[in-house]
Amino acid sequence: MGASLAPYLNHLPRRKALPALFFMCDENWALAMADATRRRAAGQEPAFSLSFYFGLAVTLWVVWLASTTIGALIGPALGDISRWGFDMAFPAVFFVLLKGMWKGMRCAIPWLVSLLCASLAYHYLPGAAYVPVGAITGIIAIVLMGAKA
Amino acid sequence: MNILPVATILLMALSTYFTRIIGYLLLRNRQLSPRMQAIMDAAPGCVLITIISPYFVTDKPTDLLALAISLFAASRWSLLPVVVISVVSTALLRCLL
Repeated sequence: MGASLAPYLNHLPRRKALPALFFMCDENWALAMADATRRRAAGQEPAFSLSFYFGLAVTLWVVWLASTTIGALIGPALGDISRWGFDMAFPAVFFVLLKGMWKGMRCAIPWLVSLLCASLAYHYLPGAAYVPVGAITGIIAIVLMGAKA
Repeated sequence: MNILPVATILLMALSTYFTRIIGYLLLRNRQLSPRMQAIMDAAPGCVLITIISPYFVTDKPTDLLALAISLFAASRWSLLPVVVISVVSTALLRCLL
């Protein structure tokens, strides 16, 4: 993620870019990338907005800590909360993030390859082996498609 | 105070931060080849979808249906409504089926 953000950070000095990366997580990274794409399309320079990024980062950090604390305090009293469906919020957020990166069906083929391979790996391999499997097979798919085009 | 948990937390924090800055430090101010650029553009999506792949590996038809509903909702609405639709439909499906 840091590598994909790097081209957008060229206008920043290192003393700003390195602290910014400290606060990077999936969500603010994806929204900042989508925002940068939108700003570039609108002709705004620099495409990457540090204030947009830090607004997200600080908000996320506060909410994250607060909700984890509340969860730890009242969680045991709630029992099994999966019957409320809250666990499905996680993939739902990621679907929205992926839509922000959507650039057409062709660009989504490596995503499907990743999903398929990672799911198989999750089913048949122990632990978190599915993460590198999904990432690497997706990148292989990108390279193979690039070679054809 | 036990030193081991503190050291573990510090080392994990350091290695996590390292993964966040390494890509930036390597690629900073560098012109990428078109192939490398294509990888940089599409790889993050691959990682995101990989992270949620365990949700697709399920023998519960209700969960697969809920995923389909979430995906459909994500294709037309923004973050907050999608999360609400997803959570509510999952809860309803699990309760009804």
